[in-house]
Amino acid sequence: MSRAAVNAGMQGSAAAWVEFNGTGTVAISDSFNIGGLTDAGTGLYDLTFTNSMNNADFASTGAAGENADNGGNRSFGLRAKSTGGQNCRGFRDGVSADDMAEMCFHTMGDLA
Amino acid sequence: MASVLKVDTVTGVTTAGSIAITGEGNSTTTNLQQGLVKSWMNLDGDLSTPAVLDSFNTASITDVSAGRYNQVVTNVFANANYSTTIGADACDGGSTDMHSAVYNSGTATTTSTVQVIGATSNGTVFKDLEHMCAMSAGDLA
Repeated sequence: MSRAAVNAGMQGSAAAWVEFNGTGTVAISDSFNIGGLTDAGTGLYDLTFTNSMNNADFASTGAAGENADNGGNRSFGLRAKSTGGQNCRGFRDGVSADDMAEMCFHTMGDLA
Repeated sequence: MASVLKVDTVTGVTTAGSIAITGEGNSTTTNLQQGLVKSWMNLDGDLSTPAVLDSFNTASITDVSAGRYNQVVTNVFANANYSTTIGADACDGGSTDMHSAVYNSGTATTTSTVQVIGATSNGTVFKDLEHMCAMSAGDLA
C-alpha cells in the first residue's frame, strides 16, 4: 500500500455482506449487517440491513453459483434498493430467473 | 484537535478480533473486522499462463480449465461460508457479447480456495477472460 495515500477506514470497509442458500427455504450461511432475507419468488430475494445506509447511493455487487455442476451458468442481478435493503436476483444462463444454491452479496457505502 | 495514531497492529481489548467504529452518519456503530475485505485479486485469465496482476491475501491461482480459476488465499477463512463477488470482461473492445463471471459452479468452496469462472455467450460458455476480479468478505481463521 502506498504510504502517500490515506484511506478513510470506513469508506474502504464493506457496510454489509452475506452468503446465502437461495433454494428451498432460503437460509443465510454467514453475513454482516444483514437483518433479514426474504424469498420473493423464483430467483428473487429481498435483503434488509440491520443498520441502514445513509442514502440509497451505495454500491452493491454479487455473484451466483451452485455446489453441483448441473450445466449452464449462473449470474447475479440487482433490483430495487433503499436505505434499508437491496433486492437481488439469480439468473440461469443469463436469461431465466432461477433459485440459486449459493448467492453472495457485498455493499459499499455510507452507514446512517 | 486532530491527531494521528501510529501503530503497526490494532487489536480489540475485550475481544481481540472485534473493534467497534462509528458509521459515517454518526448514528450507528459497525464492526471494523467484519467490514474488511479479506482477499481480492485482479487476474488476467487470457494469458497462456494466467497471471495475477494485483492482489491481497492471494497466495496463488490455478488454471483449472477454460474460464475456470481457483483462487487460493494465504491466510485461510474460519469456515467456507464467506461471501465472494466477482466481475469479468474480455477487454476485446468490439465484442457485443456479454461477458460474465460465475462462481463456484461445480467446485465447492473451501476455507482456502474459491473457484471463479469467466463466461461468454450470455453466460452459457466458459471462456478465458482478460479481466477477472474477485473479492471475499467473511471470517478469517
